[in-house]
Amino acid sequence: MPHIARLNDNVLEPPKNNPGPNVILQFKFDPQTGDLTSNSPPRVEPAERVGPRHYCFHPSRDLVYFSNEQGCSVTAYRLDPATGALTAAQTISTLPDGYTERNTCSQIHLTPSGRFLYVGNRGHNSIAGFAVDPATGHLTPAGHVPTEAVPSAFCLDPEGHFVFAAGTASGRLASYRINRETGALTPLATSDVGQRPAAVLATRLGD
Amino acid sequence: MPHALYVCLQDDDKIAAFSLDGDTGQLTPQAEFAVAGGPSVIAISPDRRVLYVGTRNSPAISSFRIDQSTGGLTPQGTVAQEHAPTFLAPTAPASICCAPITKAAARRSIRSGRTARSALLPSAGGRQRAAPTR
Repeated sequence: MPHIARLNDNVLEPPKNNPGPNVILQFKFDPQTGDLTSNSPPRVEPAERVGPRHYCFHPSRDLVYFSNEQGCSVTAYRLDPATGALTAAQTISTLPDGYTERNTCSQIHLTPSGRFLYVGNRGHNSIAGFAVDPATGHLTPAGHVPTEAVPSAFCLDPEGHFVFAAGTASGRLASYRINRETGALTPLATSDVGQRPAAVLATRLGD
Repeated sequence: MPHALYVCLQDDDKIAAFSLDGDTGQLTPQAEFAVAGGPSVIAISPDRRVLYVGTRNSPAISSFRIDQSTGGLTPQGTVAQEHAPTFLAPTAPASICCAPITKAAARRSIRSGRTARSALLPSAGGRQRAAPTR
């Protein structure tokens, strides 16, 4: 049984009049050779132009969550473990009700437990949180926390207790503690890190 | 043992490394590592021993051995890319998938089902093999 690789093929910051492809390409992946071959169907195209950008896998269920760059939303897809094919199940906004200013979604991360999901809002400049139903994977809003300007990249620590969000425009890194019951984020600290922090990754050291 | 946190600083051409206290969330600066070409994409191998960094201004993917006691990075090699990487997905121990960034490349990928691909072999004494773009 080959592994299956799924790549979200999209442009970084598309101009407003050309938001780029609105599609998720599906591949089968051969772990021996690294070869990718198109899956069937080869593409998943959202009904509306939402612009799927980043994704993460549920740690224990056959679910994949995509951030929608232009749609300012998250779509949960069911993953068929036999074929690797995705089927949309739920789409939910990453913005507060009534917010109409320009915004694009960036990265998306689940806690290792799969209980909470976070998405970056560039424009609203916040991190949106969601609680994940342990049985179904269904998302419910868990609030927003203001963050640095243009949060293109963020990460969680390996245990899923903290969020670290970089402001691409501010050159700063903001830390938050995750409430273990609700998933709400509490600001801890911010610090200057340098010019255009575009990616953040935390890892456990040692064996 | 603290954790390590890495930040790609695209316009500084470097990676900033921090130690991360897993109990308090406190970050402490440890070191900075020069990476030419605008480091902007990051991924880690499944065994957590190799860091992959994609550069956008000069399209390439570089690999770094992670010192497991200090979090320090040792360059292993660099593979030039035809298009700037926008996302890296380590899958098996010795392969990594790279999605190109340019609109032209994205359109081409969609038309043909092609995706740029490189294989980095960090365990082979720093040697590496670049598969041709398919």
